[in-house]
Amino acid sequence: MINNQKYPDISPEEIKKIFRVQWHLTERCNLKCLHCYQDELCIKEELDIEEIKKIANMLKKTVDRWGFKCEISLTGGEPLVRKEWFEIAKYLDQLGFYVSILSNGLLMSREVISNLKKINHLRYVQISLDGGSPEVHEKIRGKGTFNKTIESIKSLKRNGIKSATKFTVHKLNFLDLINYLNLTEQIGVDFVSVARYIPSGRGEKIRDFVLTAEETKETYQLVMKFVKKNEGKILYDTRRPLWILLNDQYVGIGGRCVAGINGLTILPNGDVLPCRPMGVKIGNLRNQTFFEIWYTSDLLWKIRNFHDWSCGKCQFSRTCGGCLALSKAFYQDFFVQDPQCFKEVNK
Amino acid sequence: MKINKAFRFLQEPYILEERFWLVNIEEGDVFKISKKTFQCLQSINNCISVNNDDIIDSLREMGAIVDD
Repeated sequence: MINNQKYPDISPEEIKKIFRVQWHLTERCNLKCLHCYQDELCIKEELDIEEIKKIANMLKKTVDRWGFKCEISLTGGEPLVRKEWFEIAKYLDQLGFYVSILSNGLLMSREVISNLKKINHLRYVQISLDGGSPEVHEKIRGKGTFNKTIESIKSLKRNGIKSATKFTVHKLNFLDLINYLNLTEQIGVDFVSVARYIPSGRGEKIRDFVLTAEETKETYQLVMKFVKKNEGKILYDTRRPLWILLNDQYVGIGGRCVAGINGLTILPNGDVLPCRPMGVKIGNLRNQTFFEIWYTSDLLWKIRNFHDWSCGKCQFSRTCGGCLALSKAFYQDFFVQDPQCFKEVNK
Repeated sequence: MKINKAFRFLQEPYILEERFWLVNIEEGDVFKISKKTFQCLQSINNCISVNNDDIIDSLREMGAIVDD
């Protein structure tokens, strides 16, 4: 079996026992990307360092109780604008959590690189790259960002830090996907990801740029060519909803979204959501425990009892399940068919 | 007696089968409970007297109910 996932050194059984937390340390950002889920009403309040440590300890107790490991992806906004980011990452590291950083790469200084090297359980640093050419990337992320972003990825490589890139695909950069895949191959990025754009926050303004089901299928087919070409060299993020619909014989594809199943999102003020683009608060860790939110949230129960929704009746329900946030963005309902589902296109 | 504030009890929603749970939200202990036990917890929560010593004893043992 081809082990196409971001933990090549961990067995598939162990991967199932990793709880994933996306922790937004801040909403502050040095960019204003067109497709971002942030809006003008973003949360200004931030947990202080002691509150963060308290929540981290609670999370440790939770995953230990479950017999799980935990990966925390520190994100934002731009996580590196928060001056205590390293203290937070190091604390999580000392608790034994896997740590990853999701960044735009623009603040990747020597000091940052040096600090990253001190995080023992660092899995990777993911840099957002929305084009394979400066024109496309900068149309989305702003002038003068492309070269610095590329330099940051190369700098991670030079320093022996696992690099990842994420390309959020929509009609503005769809045709540049091939350039992105070629570029990441040329640089030797360790883990390459293509994520679907979900219209929310500021990104609402470009709602019309969501790919059709046909275009989504074309996107995945193109990525699949690179998956096969670079097998054993580059890992591609294919364990996601819809991939299984490619009907490919390749084994390492397809997977349900972890939101509410074995993952959650924490916002800068301690609010908890199944995932950021879903936009529904299910609790707050300043005054609730993880256990309370996890076991008593009505929305989480609904996500887990997935046979109740449209996608639950599909033959691929266990390895797909669609993107709930995208369904909500289109139909105001999490539990209807993913608008980019290409099962019908296949017929 | 009353329900220990560290405990929550619920009927699992969005499922045809009837399933009931008792959760210690501080320690993470999760118990699958019977409908009868669930109803008993509802009664205690609503200050209605309960005449089932076996269930009361087992809930006490779990720490789910405590004296006022």
